[in-house]
Amino acid sequence: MNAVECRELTRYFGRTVALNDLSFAIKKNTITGLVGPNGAGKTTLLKILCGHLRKTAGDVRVFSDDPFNSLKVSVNTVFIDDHLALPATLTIFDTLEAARLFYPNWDHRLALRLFEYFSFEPRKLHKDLSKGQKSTFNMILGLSARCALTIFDEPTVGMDTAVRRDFYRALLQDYLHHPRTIIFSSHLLGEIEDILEEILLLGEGRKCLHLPVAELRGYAVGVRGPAETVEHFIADRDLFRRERFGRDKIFVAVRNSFSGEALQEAGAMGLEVFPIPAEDLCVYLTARTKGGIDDVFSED
Amino acid sequence: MMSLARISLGGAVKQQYLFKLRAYANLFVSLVAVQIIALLFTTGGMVGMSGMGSEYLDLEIRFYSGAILFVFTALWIAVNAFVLTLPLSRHVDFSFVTNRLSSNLANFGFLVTAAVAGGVTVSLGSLLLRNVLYYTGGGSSLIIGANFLVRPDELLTGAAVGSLYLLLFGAAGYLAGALIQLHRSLYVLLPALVLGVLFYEAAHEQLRLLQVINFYRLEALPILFILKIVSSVLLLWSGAALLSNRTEIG
Amino acid sequence: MHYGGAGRGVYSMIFDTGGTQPIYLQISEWLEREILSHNFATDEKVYSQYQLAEMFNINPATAAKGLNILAEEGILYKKRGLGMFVSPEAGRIIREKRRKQVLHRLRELIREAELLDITESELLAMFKAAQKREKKEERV
Repeated sequence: MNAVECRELTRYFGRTVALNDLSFAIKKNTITGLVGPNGAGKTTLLKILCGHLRKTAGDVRVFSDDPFNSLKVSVNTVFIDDHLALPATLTIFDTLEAARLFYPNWDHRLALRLFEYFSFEPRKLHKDLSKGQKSTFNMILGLSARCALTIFDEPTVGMDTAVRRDFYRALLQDYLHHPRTIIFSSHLLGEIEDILEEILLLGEGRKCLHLPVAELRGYAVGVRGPAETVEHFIADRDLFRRERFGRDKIFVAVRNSFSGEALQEAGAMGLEVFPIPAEDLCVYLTARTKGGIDDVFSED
Repeated sequence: MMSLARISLGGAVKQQYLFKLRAYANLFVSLVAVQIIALLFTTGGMVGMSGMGSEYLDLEIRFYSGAILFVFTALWIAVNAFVLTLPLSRHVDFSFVTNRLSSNLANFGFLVTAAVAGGVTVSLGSLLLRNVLYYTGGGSSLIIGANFLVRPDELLTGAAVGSLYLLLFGAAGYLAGALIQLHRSLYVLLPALVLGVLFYEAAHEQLRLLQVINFYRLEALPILFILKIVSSVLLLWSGAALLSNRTEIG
Repeated sequence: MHYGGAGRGVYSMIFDTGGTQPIYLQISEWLEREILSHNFATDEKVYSQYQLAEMFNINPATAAKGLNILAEEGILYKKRGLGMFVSPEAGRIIREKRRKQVLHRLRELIREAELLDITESELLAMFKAAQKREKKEERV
């Protein structure tokens, strides 16, 4: 059973294409990390999923409904980002009370406990909170709403490391006890990788990768050594990255379709072979050039 | 396992409406403030004044009216109806459970509440005005009023009529807001258009605006008056709801 | 692991998320160690995927993958609706598997020694010396 389904989903803003022919499905009760560089279309996608934005073409289903103007999607979805608009006149405590009335699965005990844990002053106004406090407060809203589809779009803006860690831990704990579909967009893939089940990588509005996180680690390997030997070794495998290394060596990142023996052989050939961390792979896959920033400084 | 929650349109509208009452409670404070200012204007300056003098007699007639009070209140509701259609207000709605229709319907409910509050306070305000004038009239004054003493049922009728007119102004402000949200250029074009028409008509001494007002004002049958107002309001609201049903929450 | 609470801190030391090894493999290896050191007896129920997820701060699907690897290798067995249990063969299977790994690492060591021109007798001497030191530390 899928919570979210998109088929050839496309969205234009004027003449710019924000989402380009995007097709994917998100299984119910999984945590999916949505990653990609700025401008990849992450926020546009999430706002279409929660019914805030319209699609231009294609098909989008959330709980088998078109989310635009769907009350069913709205009551089962909570969307948290750092622009979350809350009434300027309500204290943060009253805001929790107000939110409680909207969401049938709202857990007020959890809300109050988190509220206390992060030492919020009940009578403060949302606009008087610091950036990090705002994010923390919004996170409490997002978790306590207990919505079947919980969307966090860059929710950790301004949070310090300790709070971010608490957040990831709280998210996982609450998910373990109350499984639901969570989509988490973040630039800090390294930080959230462990709690994800799947990863959806966007680049320039297109899907670059969608697979279980477990497979992401073995997805690519890095090979370093003398240029010719490396070229010969990787033959015609999918190349994600090529950088010069030292005088006559190169580093490449390629799709890992090598056998175990092949990898051992590489050692004998004088090549270094190592796995590519997920975060690096995502950068390589969405980069405009295969050489990265070094291309700017290269002489040739 | 999380089962999907259900909600009806009525349920969503009710939640949004109650939420707005809490979130926008300060608007009712601003209503009182606006009316106090209106009363100060009225008791201070005169709406109309004529002085006559002769060798033996100095006569000054002052007209006091609750018109300023009503005009201020009408402006209050129109402006706030307009504000409800602004992106920021919509964003707040969409931070919780809603779709465009339920957001609009809750706003309409809120405007009805605001109109009733406005109508009642205007009615009470004019009563207050009479009292203030009576006691601060400056000794020598003689107050002549057609109906200086107000019967309670007249007060009630006054409140009802006032509320209905305010509802109309609120609906007009809401539609104007919904129209302007369609395109940024309308922020300039719409006010320019309205002012243009007014000036044109004033210049040509054919104030059709008066005809519009008279359409409601001169209706003698209460039931027809109510019908006229209510159907106009519904028309304005339907227009606004249709215009904003595709709005994006960027 | 990036961090852990009181109990999890210990495992954080063993785990590295630098990217070398998938977490589910780290989980299965950790469970193997637990079984080898008799923290779980034969036919005893091991941690569920949810317990492991909470302990290691990882997604339960990842934890399940770690458990499934052990089940495929016959180290654990499933009881439907009850969970995973330590099979009677567990100790033997793990030991065999680890022996192969030791052999593999030895080969790597030999290759490295060749690169450094270390002779066979030198290597053996180094091995014995290291063993001696290890035993001394154990006694202390």
